[in-house]
Amino acid sequence: MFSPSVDNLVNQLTRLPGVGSRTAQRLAFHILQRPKDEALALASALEEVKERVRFCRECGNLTEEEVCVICLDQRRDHTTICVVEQPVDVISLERTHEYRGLYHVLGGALSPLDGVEPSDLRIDELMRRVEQNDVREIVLATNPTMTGEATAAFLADRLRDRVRVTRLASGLPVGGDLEYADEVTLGRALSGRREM
Amino acid sequence: MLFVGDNGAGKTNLLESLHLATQGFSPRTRHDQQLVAFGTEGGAVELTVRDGEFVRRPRVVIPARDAKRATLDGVALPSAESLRRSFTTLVFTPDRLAVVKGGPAARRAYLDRVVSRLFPARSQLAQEYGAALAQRNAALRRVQLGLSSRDAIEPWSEQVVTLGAALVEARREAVAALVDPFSDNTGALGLGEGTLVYEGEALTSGDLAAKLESDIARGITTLGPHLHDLAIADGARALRPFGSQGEQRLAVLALLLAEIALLPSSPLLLLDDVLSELDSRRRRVLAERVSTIEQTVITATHRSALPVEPAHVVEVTHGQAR
Ligand SMILES: Nc1ncnc2c1ncn2[C@@H]1O[C@H](COP(=O)(O)OP(=O)(O)O)[C@@H](O)[C@H]1O
Ligand SMILES: [Mg+2]
Ligand SMILES: [Zn+2]
Repeated sequence: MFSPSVDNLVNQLTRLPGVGSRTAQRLAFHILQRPKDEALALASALEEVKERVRFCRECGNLTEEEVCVICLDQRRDHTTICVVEQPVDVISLERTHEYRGLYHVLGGALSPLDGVEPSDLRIDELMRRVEQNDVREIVLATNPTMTGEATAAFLADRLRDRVRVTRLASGLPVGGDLEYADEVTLGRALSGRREM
Repeated sequence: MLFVGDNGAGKTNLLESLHLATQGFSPRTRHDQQLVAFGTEGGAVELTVRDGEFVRRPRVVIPARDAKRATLDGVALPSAESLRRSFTTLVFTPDRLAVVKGGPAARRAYLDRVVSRLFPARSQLAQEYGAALAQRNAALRRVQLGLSSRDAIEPWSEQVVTLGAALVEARREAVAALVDPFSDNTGALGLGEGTLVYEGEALTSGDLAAKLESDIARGITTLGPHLHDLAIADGARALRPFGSQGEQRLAVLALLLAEIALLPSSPLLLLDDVLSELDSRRRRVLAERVSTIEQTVITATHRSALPVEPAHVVEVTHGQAR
């Protein structure tokens, strides 16, 4: 529309998740208006991240080495593995400072509608880790969405006989009043109630 | 409250705006831009609702080229439809006859609406079941095309069974609750003894597993609540094939009144073009039954169509209400 190279930039940006063509155009014009060194800094950051960052051979988390710092940390509990969908989920769980075990990043959740099969996720790698190491507990921390639940069920069926399998609880947001909880969340919390 | 006016005067429009302002959507169309008056850019409806000692102000705005938004007492809501959590509005329009005379899908949709009004914690169930079913069907087709292995179907079968069993249970509970007030209302409206029977079995993983090969061959799930039906009968006579137009209309009204009897608080009831096809005795019964409901709005072309004295009459002419 403007020039082939602007179009190319807009097209590249449109491929990013959550970026539609309008946002892509806005971003492209923003980049065009900034000084050259600023735009090049972005380009070299992209280049560097693709050159240096890769997936941990063990857990699938992002790392600059062959194996990530979490997997290498001998103070952590190597008998517990927490299974998550994406690397960002590791960051969220790490922020709690409560979890001391290892992770396994699947790289997504099962969804036949989107063409995501068991073989597209790092499931074989997880089975191998459980077989080859002294793993005692798998914590399933996939998202509480339909695809996350189906993925958890799929994994639980395969792991149950070999290792203890647990699932993150879902319930009411902390610090919120019952008054403001929606009926679905409240109903779920009610059916997941526990003895005191 | 009675809305009177000639055909095309704007009575249905007014009723629709009450539904929009209390539920966040039109009972007629999902295309919100159709609700905006021709020749204007965007529109809004705002109501003052008195509920006992409380006064609440829902407001729904449909901007010219954007999705609708709602506020309640000035506070923005996550979606216009979430007004449903604060207000209950039931509506009869001639379209609703599909519940009796249409195909099974119309009755399933009706039952799922009842489920979500009677059991708000389970209001997402039908939608979740539909999503799990779509995933399972996609998995079946992928296996059929050789793109995927059989074990990829498994987690979706589990979801379909779990959600499907919960959905069947919720629908059965809703039907069990409706049966008595429904037959009470069909009796009063002169239909004979109305019966409701849920037609369909709860899904088990065994049943689904037994169908796996044929499901793969067909690429769809051939068992489950997405294929169930609700039998609506007047004594031994099914109303769908045998009922007259008037009888079918009475059955829909009896269902509506039965549901109202089950709701924890009195709803806003909107009855559009309901009086025209009823004889005077049935009009009277309907008017009496409806008069116990907190607030009912009925449309008619003539004041005399309503055999009781309404609390308010609104005259509608050329899109203006007085
Ligand atoms: N978006 C719109 N803007 C203006 N007029 C409309 C719109 N949609 C429908 N109408 C008109 O409103 C009239 C229908 O009003 P309606 O409420 O259905 O009448 P009735 O009193 O018979 O129920 C029709 O003449 C129709 O053309
Ligand atoms: Mg009308
Ligand atoms: Zn690692």
